[in-house]
Amino acid sequence: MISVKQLSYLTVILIFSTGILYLPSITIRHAGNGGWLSPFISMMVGIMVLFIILFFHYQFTSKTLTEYLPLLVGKWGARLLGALYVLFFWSTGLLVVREMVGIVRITLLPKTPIVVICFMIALAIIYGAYCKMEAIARLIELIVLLLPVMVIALITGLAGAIHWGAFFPFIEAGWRGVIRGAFVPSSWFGEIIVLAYLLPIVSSHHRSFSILLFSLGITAGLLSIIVMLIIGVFGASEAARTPLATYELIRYVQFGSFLQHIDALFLFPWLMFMLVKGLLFFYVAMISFSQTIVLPSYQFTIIPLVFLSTVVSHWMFLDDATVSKFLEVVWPVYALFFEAAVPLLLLVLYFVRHRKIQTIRMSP
Amino acid sequence: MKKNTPYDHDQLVTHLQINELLIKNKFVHCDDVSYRWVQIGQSQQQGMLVFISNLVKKDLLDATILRELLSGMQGDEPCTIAQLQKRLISASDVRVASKITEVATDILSGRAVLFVDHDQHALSIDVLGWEHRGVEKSENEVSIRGSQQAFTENLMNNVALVRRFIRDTRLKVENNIIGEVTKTPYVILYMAGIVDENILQQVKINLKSSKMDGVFDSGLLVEKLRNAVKTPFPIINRTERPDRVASLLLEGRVIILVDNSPVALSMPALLVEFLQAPEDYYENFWLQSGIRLLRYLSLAMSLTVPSLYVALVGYHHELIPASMMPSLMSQREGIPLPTMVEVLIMEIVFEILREAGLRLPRPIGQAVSIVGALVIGQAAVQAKLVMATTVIVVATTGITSFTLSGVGIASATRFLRFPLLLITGFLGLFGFTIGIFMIMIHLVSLRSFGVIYTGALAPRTWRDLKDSLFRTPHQNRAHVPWRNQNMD
Amino acid sequence: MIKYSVIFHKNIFNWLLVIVLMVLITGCWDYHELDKEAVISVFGYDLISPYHVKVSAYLETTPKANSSSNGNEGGMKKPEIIRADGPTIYEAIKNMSVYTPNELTFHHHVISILSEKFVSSPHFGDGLDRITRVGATRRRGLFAVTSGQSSDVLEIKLPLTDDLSEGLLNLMEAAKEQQYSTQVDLNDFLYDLTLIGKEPIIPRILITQSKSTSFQKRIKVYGSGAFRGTRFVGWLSGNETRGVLWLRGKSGHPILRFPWEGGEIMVQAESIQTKIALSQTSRASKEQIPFLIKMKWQGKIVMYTGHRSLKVQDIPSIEQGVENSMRPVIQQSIRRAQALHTDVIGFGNTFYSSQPSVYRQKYLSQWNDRYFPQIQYIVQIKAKILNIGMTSHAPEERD
Repeated sequence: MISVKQLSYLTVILIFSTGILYLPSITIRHAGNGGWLSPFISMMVGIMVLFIILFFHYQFTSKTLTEYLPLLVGKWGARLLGALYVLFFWSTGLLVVREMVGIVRITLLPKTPIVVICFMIALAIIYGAYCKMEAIARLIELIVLLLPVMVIALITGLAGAIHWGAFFPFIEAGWRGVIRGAFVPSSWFGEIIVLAYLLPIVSSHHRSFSILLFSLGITAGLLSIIVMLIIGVFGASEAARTPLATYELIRYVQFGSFLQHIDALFLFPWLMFMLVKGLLFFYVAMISFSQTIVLPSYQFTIIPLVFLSTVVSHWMFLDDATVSKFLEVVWPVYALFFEAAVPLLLLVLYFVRHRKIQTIRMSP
Repeated sequence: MKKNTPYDHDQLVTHLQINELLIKNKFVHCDDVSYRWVQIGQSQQQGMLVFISNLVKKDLLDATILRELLSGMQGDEPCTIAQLQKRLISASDVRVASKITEVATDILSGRAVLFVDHDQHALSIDVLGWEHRGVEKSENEVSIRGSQQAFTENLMNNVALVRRFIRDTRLKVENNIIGEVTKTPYVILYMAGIVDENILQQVKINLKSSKMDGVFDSGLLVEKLRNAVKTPFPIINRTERPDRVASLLLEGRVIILVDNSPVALSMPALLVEFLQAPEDYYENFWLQSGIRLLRYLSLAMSLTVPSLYVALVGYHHELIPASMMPSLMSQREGIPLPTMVEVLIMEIVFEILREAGLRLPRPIGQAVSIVGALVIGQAAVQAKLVMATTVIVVATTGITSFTLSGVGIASATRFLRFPLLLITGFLGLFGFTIGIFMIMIHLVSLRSFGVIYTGALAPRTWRDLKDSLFRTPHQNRAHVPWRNQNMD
Repeated sequence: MIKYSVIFHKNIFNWLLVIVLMVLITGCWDYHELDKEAVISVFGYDLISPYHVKVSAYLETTPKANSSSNGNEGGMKKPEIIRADGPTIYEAIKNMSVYTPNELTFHHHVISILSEKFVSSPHFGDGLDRITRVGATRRRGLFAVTSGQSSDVLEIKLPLTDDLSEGLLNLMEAAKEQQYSTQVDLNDFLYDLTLIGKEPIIPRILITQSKSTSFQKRIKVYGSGAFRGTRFVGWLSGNETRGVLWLRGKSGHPILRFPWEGGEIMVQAESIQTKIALSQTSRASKEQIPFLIKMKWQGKIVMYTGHRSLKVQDIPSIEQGVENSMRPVIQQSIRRAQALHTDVIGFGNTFYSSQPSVYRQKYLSQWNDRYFPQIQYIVQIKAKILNIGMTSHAPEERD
């Protein structure tokens, strides 16, 4: 059993960990120096998804998304949709692993073969998946402490380097630019669809909607802080030119003359967060896979899932530029289809089917 | 089955001579068993007292049994065991036995057994009095404030020591015996009403189901109790201090004391309690909160410092401050081994030194550690075999592991340090991250008798933190900070 | 299927161990020892002819124990400089690594010294791209321009320190404090470069010939080089740099000196705040764009050579003196920038910030050449003396 508090930590780490990797640069490219406002707009998608999955959770308590699909779209439709969701979660996990490999290759181990790095990540994820969701949630509760430390260290280490002039003229690309810049991050906020598989094991749902809403707000705030720092330190046009802007930011941190070049230290919590995110997606893929084809024991399925993904990521994304391009162009459409479009359709379907609903339960 | 047989082989008979034969048959080649024949009072009735002379207290035997027997009761009638028990024997702990095995066990555990003619029962009398160590100062868990007593090898003394701390009827003491051959007595202690019944049952089941020939120390029970949980972390706490046991009892732990062992086992154990020390509660809480944080720091350091050092010197040179760079580079020049191997070897040498210092008699042990640490270290640096920094790092790691009061947790970090060192040596900080990730997820997935091992840290509430990470004033803490809410 | 699951369930630990060992015994690819590296702390870039770049690198060296008999003094570092050349920066650095036995590393790189000729050529722009693309050097890496050969700077031994990079860093800090020069790292440079309506400057390193015998040549950080884009266009003197920095609103504690009441007075700034604004936005579409510069100076008196006792009533007149001595510095620096046709102060950016679309459409392309040289500006300085010092007047003999 996990608690709502753990779930809210999980939400923050889920979105923040890879959200600061390529996103700031993509956002700033569209939104200019108003990019720090974009996360708050893309948060709306997150709130919508959260509302839908919580609504469904209250209707079908103790059932995951895959389990209540048959009640909404029928047996065969559920099988098809379930399989698609498995594919979606699996591919997201794959992408997280690939992004991680990219950052590790650039920052820490430029000469080590990709296979080895992939393999080690796969190992950690498999081991983590064998430790059950409760352990993952507790791990998140532990490592989430590193998040404020990381952000505060970033702010204090960069405070002297911020050019306030970079924020003027206010929103140089206009609100249209800000909204366009919010499009790609919205698919990151939509990733909280994984909660649809975790809500059934939450012990108490006391105030869960407001707590999760709060955590979404925190996430948007953190992303906004990172984007602000990037704009303030590099300027909008220089940031748009740098795909791994957050990494450059971390490289720029300096405390006095004794703590310089400490990017490797920042990478430790960051990699930890990304590992957890990858683990989470593979875990959910594993659960949805076993629930789609109704397996009695499910943990071993993580092994083929993870290893298949390392192979596929190797074959799909040969270079980091492809990853960045994929994340900017293909990914939002692909992800938002599963994260927002399908749940919305399901919601409509639910209301069509249950036209005569007497009471819509909004609490268990 | 036994009903059909006219003669039970395990039963004593009414004839004293036959009983003697039966007993002597049991104790073939046991020359330390004494047989003392007496004539009870003025009657013609014979009696035989069997005991192991080194286990009983002779004065007591003479005063309470022999003198009374010899003076006897009024009248010439032969008396029964029941009469003897009621009227003659002036010992406090007396019990009637009728089985040979029972009698034999009693003799072996230091009681004197009295057989009389014309009675198929025997009287087992407690005149126990072997030589044992008195209560001494605790040597392995030293504390500055608080009680200095430590448990001894005497089980009942140990129970008495705990009783002196908790004068309450809710403190339950359950006697049991374990070991097919050794038949070692052990005691389960718990506070009724505070202890979790499920945990208590689990402990009892685990102990009952274990088949062991011999139990010589409580350490042997640990593996039976953890029930196939594979982890280097201690999920059962151990202590040799009665005051610690008393405080653990009040927190709802189940305590096991084993005869001949001065170490008590306490379960379930949480990670945080290995980082607590008795003085934490007896001294000023501001200072002790800081010291407790220091212990958390040393736990982290003793696990990670060698690995981080290897990552720094072998992989991520940019992390080294510019002013330190030339000195490190010049130290590194001409060293034959790669840093990772160097640290690994130094760590192993350090462990060897520590082991040598432990096993040797104390004066020599100190000499060995001084020679090892100072002389060999200094010589190795001067001979350009190892970097001076490596020696510093290894020494620091060693010292940090000494600050951890719980022996178990230090050994866990001692063990895990090596795989972490290896993976960091091969993959730098990335490997380090993977290693820490795996260690952490293993740690949070652990349960000790159903209780989450990282309780108060990983499922944490502010209330729990008051006595885990910090030590807040006593009135701020719950009186029984037992974390049953972690049970699922 | 079932069997497969059972195998992995039972022996997951063993499987993991086997896999870890398999991965680990294959080798450590990124492992490199400290003593196998050549750590570059200072780079010097020179241009010999249009397609001939010379790169010199100052290496961080280990203090070697001298084999000779003077045992204890063996800790001295001898600077080691390696040089290489090639048609572009790439080639030059590549050649450098060919001739060096140890691996060249840039992670402790502190400062790049650029020669005037080099920054006047397109090589500098190309080099910037290489630096940011590869990411070997950090954005904290500092820049300095010198009028002569940059490799000469590398050979000069600074007093009190063995380490050239550390010495240069401290010199720059001191110059930044007095604002005769500044400190510009790669990030600051790129920020000024990419910001609309602002051009970068880079501090200047001067080599001065000294007549004293102990040090033949000395290094001085004084003045700066003004850039337009990535091209060097001209020098700014120390005072002009001061004016630019004041207008940019950079912090520092410069000392001003001016005559007052039969003596000289020296004041040190504690803070200078500058605000530039378009003075009348309605007239902004004209050829001559008017700006309003508002400055707030706060500081203290550090010296007074006259014989009067300073009183409260004197303060306004001293403040007036401060304002009067600052004004020409500012005017001179703006005139100089206008003459160089480069807006190093950022008037264009002020304009852009308040009217982005107007600026983009009309002024952006011709700002430096057409509009910036004829801007009109009003300087309003408000000085405030916070502290007249520990004494009231100079010590004097009693008559």
